[in-house]
Amino acid sequence: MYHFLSGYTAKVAGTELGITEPVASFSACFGAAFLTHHPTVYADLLAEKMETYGSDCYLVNTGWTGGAYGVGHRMSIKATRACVNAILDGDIKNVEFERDEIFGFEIPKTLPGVDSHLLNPKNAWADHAEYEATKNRLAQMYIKNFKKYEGRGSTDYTKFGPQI
Amino acid sequence: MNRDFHQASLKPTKQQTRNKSAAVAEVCLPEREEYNVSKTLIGPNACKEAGIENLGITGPTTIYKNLTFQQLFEHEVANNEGKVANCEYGDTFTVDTGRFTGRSPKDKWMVKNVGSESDRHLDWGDINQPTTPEVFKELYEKAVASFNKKDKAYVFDCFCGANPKSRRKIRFVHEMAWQQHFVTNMFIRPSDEIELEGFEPDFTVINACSQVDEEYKKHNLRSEVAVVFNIEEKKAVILGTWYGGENKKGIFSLMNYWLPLEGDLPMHCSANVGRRGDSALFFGLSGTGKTTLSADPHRALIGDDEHGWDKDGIFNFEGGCYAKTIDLTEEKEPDIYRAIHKDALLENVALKPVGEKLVPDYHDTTKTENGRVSYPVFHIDGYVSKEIFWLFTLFKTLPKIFDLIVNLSIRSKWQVILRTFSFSLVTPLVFYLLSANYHPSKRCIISYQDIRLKSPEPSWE
Repeated sequence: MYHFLSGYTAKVAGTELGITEPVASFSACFGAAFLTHHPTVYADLLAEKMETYGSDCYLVNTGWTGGAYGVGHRMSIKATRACVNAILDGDIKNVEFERDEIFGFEIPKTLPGVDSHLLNPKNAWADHAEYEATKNRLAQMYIKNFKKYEGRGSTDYTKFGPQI
Repeated sequence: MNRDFHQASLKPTKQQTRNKSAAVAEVCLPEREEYNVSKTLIGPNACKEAGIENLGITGPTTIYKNLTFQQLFEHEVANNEGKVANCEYGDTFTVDTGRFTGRSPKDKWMVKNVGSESDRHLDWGDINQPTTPEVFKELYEKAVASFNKKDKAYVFDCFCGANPKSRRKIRFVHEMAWQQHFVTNMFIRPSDEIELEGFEPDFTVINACSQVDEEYKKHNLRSEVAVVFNIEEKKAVILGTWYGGENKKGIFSLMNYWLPLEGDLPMHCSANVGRRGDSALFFGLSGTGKTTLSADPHRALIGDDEHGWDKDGIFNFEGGCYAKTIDLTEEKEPDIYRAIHKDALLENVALKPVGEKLVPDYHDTTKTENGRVSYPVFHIDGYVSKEIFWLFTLFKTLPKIFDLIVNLSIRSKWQVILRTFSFSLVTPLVFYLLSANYHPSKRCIISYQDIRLKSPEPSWE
């Protein structure tokens, strides 16, 4: 729910005037422009539906990896599809995971049909120090963006955000 | 599943390539022809008969109501509303939406009816900007007056939401045929006359795009363009913008208001379903891969943009898709590319002459980078029709039979057998279970065939 409310995404070059490289942005419920109730209303409903029906949720990176814009590259559609297939087939339930300490993500170590190097961005980025610095910057952006949801809705999800 | 078989069958052979447009048109023909509830009302009572007299619109003496796809095309050409593009899979009408080639979010307003239900629930701010009932009244009168000066209008009655329990009845009043074409592509079209009997809209949109609000300063608005919703009065007014997306996303905003009040969840996501009836949702903003990832060769598409989640499952709000066309190629996005033929509608796409033909140039962004195409969902190979959704709902109580039917129907080699088998098995149950307001038809059963494999492997690079 923390990530549904955050709606972290990137403005891809070309979709808006003046955007020449991907810019990190947050759009509540991945569609803030069309929400009429407060975003937490939708988050509460999603939580309830997922609990009722036992749905699983995964975050899949379809954006940049391997380095910042200009250095890295966009995830290939082939790798992304393989990730999605592993989720839909249930293969992802039979693999080992490792934890990202800042964001708290459980990241699969292997997935059928995916280069394991790609799964954890830590391994995909060529420049390690640059990766850690960028990750910290992003974590700060998450925290700043989520301030507006503190104490709103039926649950305060702040604690599920990045810890630095 | 025999994947090779399907890939082979989807790869055009030499002969198929030659007859691309004829082949595509043939596949879509039954659904195209089936939408036929058109009425042309002429005379002093036309507005009354079309149900717009109570809105104050009494001037027009000709009302074109729910025109068929063929009639829409003929009107577009006769009114000179745009150009016909010779696309690879068939001729497609193309319009220029003028100065506005995208939504105008800063000109979208919600009426603050102090103390009302919507006043209590709306999240007032930059996204839901308040205006007053007095301003709405003046804008509404401007819109009505502009229609009363015209001798004709286009009226379209449709649904938003595939689940009959939560769907909303929407009426659109437009100035031009292509605008009715856009909503005909995007919303859920009525199946037959019976579905329209006693149609009392839950919401009406009066789209007076050629009328601007010259007094916007007095009204405390931002520009001559105004898109204003009044939830309590069940009406919206659009002034000064031709962009098609305002109709679509405006009603989506309202679904986002109505459904949570009933405990149902509206979502900005794409959705597909596997053969076990297991659905997957893909959330993300424009350009992140929603459309691409939901087009999965092993799963049937539910929809690519707006969905609801209620006790019956996941359902589409829409009856069509609205795709970006920038740099579109058949290799990158085969589903979208092949959906662009007769009855699709191109917006703000550059056309270039090639010999005697006028062909679209998706790389030319001189006019805008937000070139778009709308098309009805049956242009996509492998989707879940609203009939299938209704059957999903019905068979929840009989999951075993449902699983059997869906499993069988996806396996290609069983398809012929299934056609006979499922029809004989399901028909009595359908007759028994369905309520009087829906007439089970042969199509409803055959629609199982719509869960089938899709063409694979587009690329977003």
